[in-house]
Amino acid sequence: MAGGATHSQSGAGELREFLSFRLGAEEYGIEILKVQEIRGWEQPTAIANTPAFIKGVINLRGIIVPIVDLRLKFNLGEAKYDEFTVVIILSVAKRVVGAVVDAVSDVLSLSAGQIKPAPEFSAALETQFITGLGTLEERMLILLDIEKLMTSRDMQLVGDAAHAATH
Amino acid sequence: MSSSSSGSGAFGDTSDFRAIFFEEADEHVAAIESVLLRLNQAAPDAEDLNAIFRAAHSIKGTSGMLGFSEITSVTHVLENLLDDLRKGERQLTEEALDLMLRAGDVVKMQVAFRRGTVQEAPDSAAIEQELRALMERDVGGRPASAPRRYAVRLGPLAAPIDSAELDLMLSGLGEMGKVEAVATSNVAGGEIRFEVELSGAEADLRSVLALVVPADAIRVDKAAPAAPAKAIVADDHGGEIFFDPAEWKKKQKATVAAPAAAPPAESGDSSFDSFVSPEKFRARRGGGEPQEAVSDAKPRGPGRRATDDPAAEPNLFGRRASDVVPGAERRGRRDSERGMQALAEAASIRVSIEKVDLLVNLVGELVITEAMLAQQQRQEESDSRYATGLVDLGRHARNLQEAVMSIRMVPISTVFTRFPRLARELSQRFGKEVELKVSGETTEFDRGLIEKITDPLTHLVRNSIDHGIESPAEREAAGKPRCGMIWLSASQKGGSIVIEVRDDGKGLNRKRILERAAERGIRIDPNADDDEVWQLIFEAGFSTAETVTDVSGRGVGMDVVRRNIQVLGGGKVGLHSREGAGTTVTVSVPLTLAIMEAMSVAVGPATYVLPLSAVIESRSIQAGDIAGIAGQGHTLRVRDEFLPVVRLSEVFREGNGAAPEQGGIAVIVESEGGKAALLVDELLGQQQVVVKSLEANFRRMPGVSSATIMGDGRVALILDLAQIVQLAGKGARARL
Amino acid sequence: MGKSILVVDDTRSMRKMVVAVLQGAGYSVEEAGDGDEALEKAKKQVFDLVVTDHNMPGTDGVTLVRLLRGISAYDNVAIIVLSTETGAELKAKGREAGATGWMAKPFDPEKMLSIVRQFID
Repeated sequence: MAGGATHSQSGAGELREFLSFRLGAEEYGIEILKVQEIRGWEQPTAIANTPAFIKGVINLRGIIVPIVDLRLKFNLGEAKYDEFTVVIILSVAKRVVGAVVDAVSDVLSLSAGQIKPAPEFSAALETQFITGLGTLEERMLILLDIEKLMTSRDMQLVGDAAHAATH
Repeated sequence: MSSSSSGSGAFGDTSDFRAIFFEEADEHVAAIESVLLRLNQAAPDAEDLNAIFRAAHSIKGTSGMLGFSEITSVTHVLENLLDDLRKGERQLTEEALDLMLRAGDVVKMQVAFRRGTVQEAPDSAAIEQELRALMERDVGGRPASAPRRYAVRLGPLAAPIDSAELDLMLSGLGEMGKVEAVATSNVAGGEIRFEVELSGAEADLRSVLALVVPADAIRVDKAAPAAPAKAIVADDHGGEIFFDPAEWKKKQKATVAAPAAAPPAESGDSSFDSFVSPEKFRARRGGGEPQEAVSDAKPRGPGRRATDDPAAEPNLFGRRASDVVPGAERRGRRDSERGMQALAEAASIRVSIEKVDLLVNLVGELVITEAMLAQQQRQEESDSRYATGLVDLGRHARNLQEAVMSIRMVPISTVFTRFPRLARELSQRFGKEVELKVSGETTEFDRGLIEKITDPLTHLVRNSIDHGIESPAEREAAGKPRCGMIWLSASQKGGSIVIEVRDDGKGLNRKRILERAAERGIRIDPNADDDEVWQLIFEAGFSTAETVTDVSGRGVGMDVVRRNIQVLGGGKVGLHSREGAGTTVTVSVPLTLAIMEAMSVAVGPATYVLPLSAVIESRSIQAGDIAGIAGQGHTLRVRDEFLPVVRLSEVFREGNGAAPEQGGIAVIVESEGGKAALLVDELLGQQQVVVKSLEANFRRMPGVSSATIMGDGRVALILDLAQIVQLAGKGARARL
Repeated sequence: MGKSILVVDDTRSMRKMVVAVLQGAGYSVEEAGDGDEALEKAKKQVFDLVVTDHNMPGTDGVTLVRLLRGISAYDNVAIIVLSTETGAELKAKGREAGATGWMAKPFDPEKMLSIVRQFID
C-alpha cells in the first residue's frame, strides 16, 4: 500500500486516516477507525425474502455477520465474486457488517485542509451520506459517513426497533 | 459538592474506583434487601443486622470518598437506624422494615443515576426525613427525657465560621446540655467536632447546628453515653490531635529524647488522631531505645497476657484469633465459616460477559474446526496416529466447550431474590397473609434466561397471591391457617430446569371455567377430567377478562405466560389444581438457550435447522398423501389428523418452488400454533448446535429465530417454528 | 522507599483507593479483604505499616490491632485505623488495643500520605 502519510501536506489540524476503495469509477474513503478487517470473498448463507444486495450472513469467528454488496446496492461495477473480491468488515454502531466493494486501494492521511465540503454533485450515493471530498494530489476521494449509511433504513440491515432507538 | 473536598479530586481519575463502587453498591443494596426480607421481625438475628449494617456502612464510606454526598447522606441515616437495631436499642417494627427497604430502593436509584443508567436523581429527602422521624420516636423503651450523647462533626467547611457565631452556638448547646471534647479547625476545608449530651431530639440539635453551617455539612452520630474517652482531650493549638498529655509525656520520657512538643502540624487535622507520636515510632523501629521501656509504655492488649501460657504458643508470632479475643469462642465457629466463605470468594474472579461470550464463540469455532479435520481424515483414511490424535482432540474440544458453557451458568437465586419482596408488597396490597418459601435456589441455569424467565414467574407468584390465596377470614372459615403459603422451588431434571410455583389457596373453580368456556363457545366435554378443564385457562384471551380473574382463581394472561415460556427453547408450562386445596404451576425450560438439540434439513441448496424438541416425527411422502383444500392450501393426513402443509422451499423461495411432493419428506412439528407438516428435501441429521443471535449484527427475519454454525463452518438458519406453523394454520399459500 | 504497607478493608472500592494512594507514593502495598486474611499476611511478612478499616465482618479493625500487637514482630509497627466511625469511645478502644492512630473516612489522600510518611520514612 502506498503510504498516504508521506504525501500529506502541512494543512491545519490533525491528520485523519481513511481507507480508500473503488466502487465503479468513483473512489471513496471511510474512516479507518470503522474498519475492523478486510477479507476475501466467501459464499454467505443466503437469507430468503431480503433484497438482492444483501448477500446473506457469514460466520466470522463465531459471530454471524451480514454481508451487503455495495456494488449491487448502488448499481455500480460488475457483481463478480472471485478470489479478487474483497469484503470490508466494518464496525459501525456496535454492529459488525461486511461490505463488498470493487477494490480496496490504500490508507490515506488527510488533514482538515485537504477535506472540502461536499458540493451538491451527482454521485451514486445520496449526499446525506457524504461528509466531504478529500483531495490528495491528483486523487479525489468521496468521504463517506459509513456508519450512517450502513444503519440507514435503506440498507435494511437494522431492525425497526433499533431505528427507533437510534434515530 | 462540599463533601467531596477530601475525595475525588485528589485521585485524579476516579473512574476505576467508581466502576468498582457501582458494582459493589449494587451487591450491597441487593444484600440489604434480601437480608431485610428474611429477618425474623420478633427476634432478628444479630449477625443479619450486622451484615446489613456493614453493607450500608461500606456504601457510605466509599460514596463519601467519591463525592456522592447524596448517597452518603441516605446510607448514613440508614446506618444509624441499623446501629440502634443491632445494639438492641430499638425494636424492629414493620414500619422500620418498610422504611429500610425503601431506603435501599432509593440508594439503588441513586447509584443508577450516578452510573448514568437513569436520567433522574431519585428524591432522597423524604426517606431521610421519615427515617429520622422514626428514630426520634422512642421505641426502645428509653424515657424520652434520658440524655443522649451525640458526636457532632461539622465540615468540611466551605469557609471559616464567624467565631462569635460559633461561640454562640456552642454556648447555646451548652444550655441545652453538656458540650465536651471540642476540636475545631475553623478554616476552609476544616472541621469542627464535639460531643454533646442532650435530652432533646436530634432534630433540635440539627436545627441549632444548621444556624451556622449548611445542612449537608452536618454529621450527627450517636456517641457512647459514658466517656472512657475522657483521657483523650482536644489539643487546640491549631490542630486536633487527640491524645492524653500525661500518658503521652510519660511515653515520651520512656523513649528517646524527643522534644515534648506538639505533634507535627501535618497531622494537625480533625481527620487524624495520633495516639503515639510518629517520632517515637521511628525511634522504636530504629531500635534506639530499650525494649523494656517500650513494652512498658505500650498498651497491653489481652493478647499479651497469653504469652505466659507456653502451651498456647502454636506458632512463631502468636496465637489464633480464637485464643486471644475474649469471648471469641462463640464467634470462632462463625469466623471460620466466614473464613471459608472469604476463601471461596477470593478464589473467584469477575469476568465481563462479553469475554465469556467471546470464549464461547472461540470454543465453538474450535469444535467446528475439529469436526472438519475429522471429516477430512475419515475421507483420506490417513495415518492412524493422526486418527487417534483427532479423537482425543475432539473429546478435549467438547469437554472444553462444556466447561466454557458452564461459565455462563448462574444460580437461579438471582431470579428468586426478588420474590420475597414482591410477596410482601402484594400481600399487603391485597390484604392477604402470605408466607413465601423458596427452595432449590442454587440450581444453575443460563444467565441469558434470567431476564426472560423473571416476568412469567412474577406473573405466577402474583396470581397465587391475588387469586389463589384467600383472605385470612376466608381461610379461617375454610379451616385453614390464616397465613397462606407459597412455595417457589427449582430443580434440575436432565437438560431442563424445573420451577414450581405452588400455593395452598382455593384452587381453580371448575364450574366457573366451564361456564366461561360455554360463553366463549369453546366446546368441551362436561365430563372431561380436571386437567383437561384446567388447560382452558391457557387459551388465548380466556382468562384475561376481569370477571374471570375473580372466579377462576387464576389471574390474567396465563396464555401470555405460556407463550413467554414456550419461546425459551420450547419451554413447557404445566398446571395442577384441586379446588380448595391449591394450585401448582410447573415451568420447565432448557438449562441453556446457548446450545440446542437440533435437526438439520436440506431444502434445495440450503440447510435449515429445527429445534428437535418441536419435531414429532418425519415420514416420507407417498403419492396422494397431500390433498388440496380449495382456497386453504394443502393438508397431509397423518393417521386421523389433517395437518396443514408448509413447503419450506416456498416459504424461503429456495429452488424453483416446485419441490417434488413425492419422494420428499414431511417433518411433523408441533409448536404453540399447533401442528404442521414441513416439506423438506432431505433430513441431514440430529446434533447439538450452538445458538447464535442473528439480530446482534443484523435484524430479525420472519420465520427465523436465530442462526448456528454447521460443521463445515457455514451459517445455517434456525427456524422459528411458531411463526411458520401459524402461517400454515392460516392455510393459504401465504409467504412470510 | 521500598517500605511495605498492609491495607485492610472489606470494601473493595475503598481498599483500592487506599492502595492507589499508597502505591502512587511508591510504597509496596499488600491488600487484605478482612481481618483474618490480614493476620495471615501479617504472619508471613512483617509490614512496615498497617492501615486497617474498623468495621469488617469477622475480625474487626480494633480486634485486628489487638491481635497484631500480640505478634512480637509487630511491637513497633505503626497501625492506623481508617474508619468512618469516629466516636470517642471506639477510638479509645482502638488506642487501648494498640492502634497508633485513627484516621477518619472520607480521607484526604495528601493527608494520608503525610501521616504515613511521618511513621515510616
